[in-house]
Amino acid sequence: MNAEDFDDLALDRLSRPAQLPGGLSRRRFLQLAGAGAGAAAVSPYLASLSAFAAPPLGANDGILVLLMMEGGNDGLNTVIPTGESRYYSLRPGLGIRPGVALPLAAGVGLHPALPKLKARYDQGDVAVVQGVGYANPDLSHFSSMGIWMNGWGGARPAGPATGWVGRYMDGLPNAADESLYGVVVGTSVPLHMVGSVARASGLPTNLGGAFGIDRRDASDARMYDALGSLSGGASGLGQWGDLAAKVEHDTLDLAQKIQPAYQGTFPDSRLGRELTLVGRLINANLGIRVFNTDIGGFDTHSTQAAGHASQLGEIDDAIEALFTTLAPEWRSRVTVMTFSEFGRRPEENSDAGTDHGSAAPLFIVGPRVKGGLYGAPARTNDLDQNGNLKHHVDFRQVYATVLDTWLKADSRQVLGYNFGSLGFFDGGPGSGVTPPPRPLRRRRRRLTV
Amino acid sequence: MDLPVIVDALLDFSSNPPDTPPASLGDPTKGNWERMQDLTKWWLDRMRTVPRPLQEKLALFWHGHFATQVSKVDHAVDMFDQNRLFRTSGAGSFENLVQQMALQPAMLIYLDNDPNEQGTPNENFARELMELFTLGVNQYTQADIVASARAWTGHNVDYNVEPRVYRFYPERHDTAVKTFMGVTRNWDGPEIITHILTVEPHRSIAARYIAKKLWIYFASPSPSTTVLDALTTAFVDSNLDIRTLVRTIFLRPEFYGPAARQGLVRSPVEWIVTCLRMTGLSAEETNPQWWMEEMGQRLFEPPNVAGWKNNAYWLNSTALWARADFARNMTWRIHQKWTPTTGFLKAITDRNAQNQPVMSVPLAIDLAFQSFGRDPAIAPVSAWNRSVLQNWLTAQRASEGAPGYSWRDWAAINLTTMTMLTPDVLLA
Repeated sequence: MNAEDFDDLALDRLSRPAQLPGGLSRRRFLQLAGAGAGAAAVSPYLASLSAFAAPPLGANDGILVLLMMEGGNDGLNTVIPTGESRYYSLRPGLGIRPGVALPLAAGVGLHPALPKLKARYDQGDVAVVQGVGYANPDLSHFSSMGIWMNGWGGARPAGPATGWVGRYMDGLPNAADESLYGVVVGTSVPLHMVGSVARASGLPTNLGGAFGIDRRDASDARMYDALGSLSGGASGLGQWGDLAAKVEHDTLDLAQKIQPAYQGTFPDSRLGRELTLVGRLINANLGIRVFNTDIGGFDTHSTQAAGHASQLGEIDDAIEALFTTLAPEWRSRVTVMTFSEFGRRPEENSDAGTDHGSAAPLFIVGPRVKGGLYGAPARTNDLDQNGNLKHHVDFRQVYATVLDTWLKADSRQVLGYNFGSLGFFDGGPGSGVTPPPRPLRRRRRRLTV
Repeated sequence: MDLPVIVDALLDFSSNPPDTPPASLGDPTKGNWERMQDLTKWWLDRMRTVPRPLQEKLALFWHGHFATQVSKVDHAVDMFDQNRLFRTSGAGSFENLVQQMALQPAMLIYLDNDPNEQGTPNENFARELMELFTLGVNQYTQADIVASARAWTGHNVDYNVEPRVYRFYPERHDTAVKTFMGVTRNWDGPEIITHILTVEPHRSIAARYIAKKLWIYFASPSPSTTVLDALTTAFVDSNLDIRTLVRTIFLRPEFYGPAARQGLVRSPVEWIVTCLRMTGLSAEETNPQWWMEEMGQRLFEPPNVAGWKNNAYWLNSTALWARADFARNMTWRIHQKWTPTTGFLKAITDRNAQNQPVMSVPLAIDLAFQSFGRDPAIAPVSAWNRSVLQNWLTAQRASEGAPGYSWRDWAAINLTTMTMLTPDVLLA
């Protein structure tokens, strides 16, 4: 690989521009347009409406909600090694004291901005996977995020340039034609949501008076149909002209389908809004398997304490908003997984911040999660030759567990290697599985909330 | 006229008026939010109106390349100072541009060089200077980053003056020897830039990295090796003179070939400016900044230090909704004015005033696209798109049952919106 290829790879990895929503292949569009008589001949676009929702979820299909923490979350100040004196000597200013951290176990505490997550942990619904990373960590945001998004654990350099969720979606029925297996809330689709044929759809956080929704006026409807039908023929404008037409078509269709989820009130924070929207889209039963949401602000090189607390607090509230929004019959079908490109240096810098580091913990949250601590903490008194934390769990072990147990996929196929399972689920998703008996302490905790 | 003469004329920015910033930047009663709104509209209107918009297009390129976000920098004045540098020095020496960019408060604060002091160096700027600004990834080691970070210690911001300025604090500077790119000496920050951009092989690597990125910005996503070799040679031979590089790009035959003609989707900023230019509306009256976040491109707020990407990045449902809503907003603005001054709407008014016959469907569509810069003689509209619009306009006119065809009719109103949203106008 020469330097130019590498540039492209690193930057492309961060997010693959959205070809969105991936809905309708030209082949299928022409089939639909040709299939109907009468109405279809007048308006092929109308005939195709609602023809391409993803197949409905089965009673035992799980839904995965990814929460991407951009910038490199400081793992040591998220799950705090309150029992390590070295942590406090490396972080005289930023270290979070044992009395302030929310205790998870002996010598382990949670950042005080995460009280709701702590309550869920006490209920047994949060797996904290500690010391997650990979060998020879790359400290570039873009390269490291690319490695996480790509998720390939098989032979290199021949590995696929696609993302791990994308490869999972590639294996679902009719993947090339389904626009709603994966949904990204935001304006671009990150690489992990892009497969070789499957692509996630991008949905806005605000629909407002989105173009294409209101068809009561005949002139408006006629305009939407004409714009939507531009994709029905060859524009002669090359691949980007064709793609622009296709995206316009799919966008106009999607507008009507998702419109109800945008009604009503939302939390103030952006992530709270995104996860509330995710909850409503799940309740609407559109067949969406994987959602991606994201929150930035974790590249805390300076004056970290207040900013980090505020970002974590937003996550705490937003996860709560998701589970509050979910209808009871959907709650046990949903698992949230957080991730970030890397953790940060064990020592604080002179600017009351931390620089790029390596291993960090992540959270798996949901009613079917078997709560507790997994992996092994990255120790501040056991650093690598660069002074960074050592990892004990490869991030692809986390993916493998989610793929095999929760999404019922073959992780060896998706990841190119058998990473085994970390066993952080009680059972599969849905009503078809009898949950194991809940520990008594859970009930007691609920009374105090 | 010869092509080289035209290109030289496009690159002669002397006729552009001075870039006097919006008044609110100097008004102590205005807050930062209001200043940024003004600055965004001001820049869009400048892009729309100056006689040589290439200067602004280059400034936009450097804004995406040396990306800083106002959400972290927090001061409109700092963002404007950087914007002015990209305008006034964006077509000169690349080394000069990098040197000046590195020592402005916007970048010092954005990539944490500001509190970078000896003893506890901050690596943020040192890393991106090589990875994103000059060389590309994998052209340096972690040890080079650490050495560079130490070399930049003491290059901080003086907060005791208003507005805050760059200042070198010798007592904060690490004067010990450092080994950077194999050379051991007492490196100082600016010498790091000089070394990267004047010593081989780094200079040629940087030249190729920048040449490729600029070709992609102006022409198409995948330049051939032949093109890249030629651009790199011209750039290196001119001591990294940006004007020479841009001139070389515009004189390449490939720049006029099909791959380049159909190679790029207009970015939100490019599309907004096109629409404003063609409708005669200003950013001041249409407030495009309200839609730009969802379109995927907020000025002074790139998504991260790597700046914006291109093409399919702009084509997704969220971004399309935002463009459509803004197109609708512009359409209403034109019609609210009741006196169209440009384009096909004016042609309709003129014909009506002269009691001429109703404009034919094909002529209306020709004029609509012409008002968006698609001259049928030079860049004909896609035959398929044209046929779809003709069918639509015929049906729409029939439904209105109004043979008069005023520009206040739905046919004219909706044709305005639809033209902006055709793939022909969405492409650069």
